[in-house]
Amino acid sequence: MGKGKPHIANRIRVLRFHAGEMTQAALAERVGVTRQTIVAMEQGRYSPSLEVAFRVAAAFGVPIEDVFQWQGDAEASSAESEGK
Amino acid sequence: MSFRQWTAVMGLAAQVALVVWLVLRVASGGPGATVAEAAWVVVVSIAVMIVVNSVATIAFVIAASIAGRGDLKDDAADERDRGISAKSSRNAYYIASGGGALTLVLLAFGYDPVSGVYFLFAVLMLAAAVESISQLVYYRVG
Repeated sequence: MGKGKPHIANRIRVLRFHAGEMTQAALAERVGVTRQTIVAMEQGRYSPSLEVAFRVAAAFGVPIEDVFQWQGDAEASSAESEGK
Repeated sequence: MSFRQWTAVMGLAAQVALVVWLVLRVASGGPGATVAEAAWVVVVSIAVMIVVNSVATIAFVIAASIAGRGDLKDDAADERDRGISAKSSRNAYYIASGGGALTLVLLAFGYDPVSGVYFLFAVLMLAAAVESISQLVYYRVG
């Protein structure tokens, strides 16, 4: 959670699709959070803790960077270039 | 909406209903000629609200179960729920502590103690309402 637009993007929806259309409820069960939290993560409204992020990656059997991507620097640099 | 959001809505409705009821009673010159009487009215009101809230929550769970809405069951709180609860409680704390201090200041300046009891109760209800509203907002925005 944080103020403003989240700087962490994720590919949870895509990874669920590639995991045989795993349901949000099934992923929530594996990760140990509520389905509403998975929904909020997918919609970019919530950035999870590092532990939950690792759990999500483990649920798909991929490295954490395949699930979550930091976008803060890119947004900051684009904002700077727009300001020039 | 999730179970926790519905619980917040029911809590908010109960708080608003209780404040309206108490305002109408006080406006009609009903209870509380003394501080003790006013305090009893407030204590009983809070007890009634707790009972009404509990019954409404149980009824909601039963209704959701009958309707087959498994998504409305009360899951164990996760880190997001705990974070939202903490931030909402913080907001309510600001209102309650500020209102409590304001009540003391009013009493120190000779404000009617019976009205002070009702004012303090209104502040606490406002704090509870702020907590419920905060939960709804945080669940919506993240």
